[in-house]
Amino acid sequence: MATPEQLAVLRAMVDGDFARQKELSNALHATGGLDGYGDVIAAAFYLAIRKQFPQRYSAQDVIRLVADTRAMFDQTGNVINPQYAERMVRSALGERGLVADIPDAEVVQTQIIVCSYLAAEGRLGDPQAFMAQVNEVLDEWSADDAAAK
Amino acid sequence: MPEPTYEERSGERVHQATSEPDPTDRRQFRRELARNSGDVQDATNNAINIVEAARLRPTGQHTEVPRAAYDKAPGPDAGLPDLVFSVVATAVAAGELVARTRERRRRRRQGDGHT
Repeated sequence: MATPEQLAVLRAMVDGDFARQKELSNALHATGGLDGYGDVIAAAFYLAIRKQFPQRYSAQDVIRLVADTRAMFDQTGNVINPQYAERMVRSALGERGLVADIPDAEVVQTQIIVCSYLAAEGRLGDPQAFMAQVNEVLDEWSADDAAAK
Repeated sequence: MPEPTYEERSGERVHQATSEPDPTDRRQFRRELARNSGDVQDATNNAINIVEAARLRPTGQHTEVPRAAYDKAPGPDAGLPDLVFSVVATAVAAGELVARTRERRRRRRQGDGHT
């Protein structure tokens, strides 16, 4: 279940306010409040990627998105693994079975960086509307968890 | 004649349909890519630090320069070395000018200043 503080971290990112994102994240990290943030950033990543390619996509589209992200955030080439990132993007678009071998830390790091790139480029649309969509997905997942218990 | 682009060489793009955004699709995605292990907290901080570092880097900066150095704007004392250098250089130049003038006067007095 996402907490208001976790959603505030995400909102700062969606707004492109990276200084605030860092400040809020540091505060949450100090108190262990990031537990469960994997769901929040995964929901945001899923929606952000599908917003770029709502109908269809090509291999070139995926490669270009990852390359553009790397150009902004990873000029050393040491931060984002492009193979992992491309497989994660394709997974968000509906391809299954591509990401089982990717370590958790790589997954979360890549999700945050790709979302940050799209936010910085203004490609997430209206921040309020985007956050509402994230909340809908998180509510859906919470309902799944409740039903599974 | 210009070289054909990659897309021209490879022909028409092969497009794939994006899956329907229904609850089943989202559930499957969550199973694969919503990671909530203990590593996530550190990964979150790492990612945010990476984003922050890149945000501070001016466009066009040489990539070999360590990122941490990019955001170091000149501080209030940054002009001091230039100022000191300028004062010293002016004093040296003035000293040389005075010395040359004295030498000319000395030679003129001794009669060997006109050749």
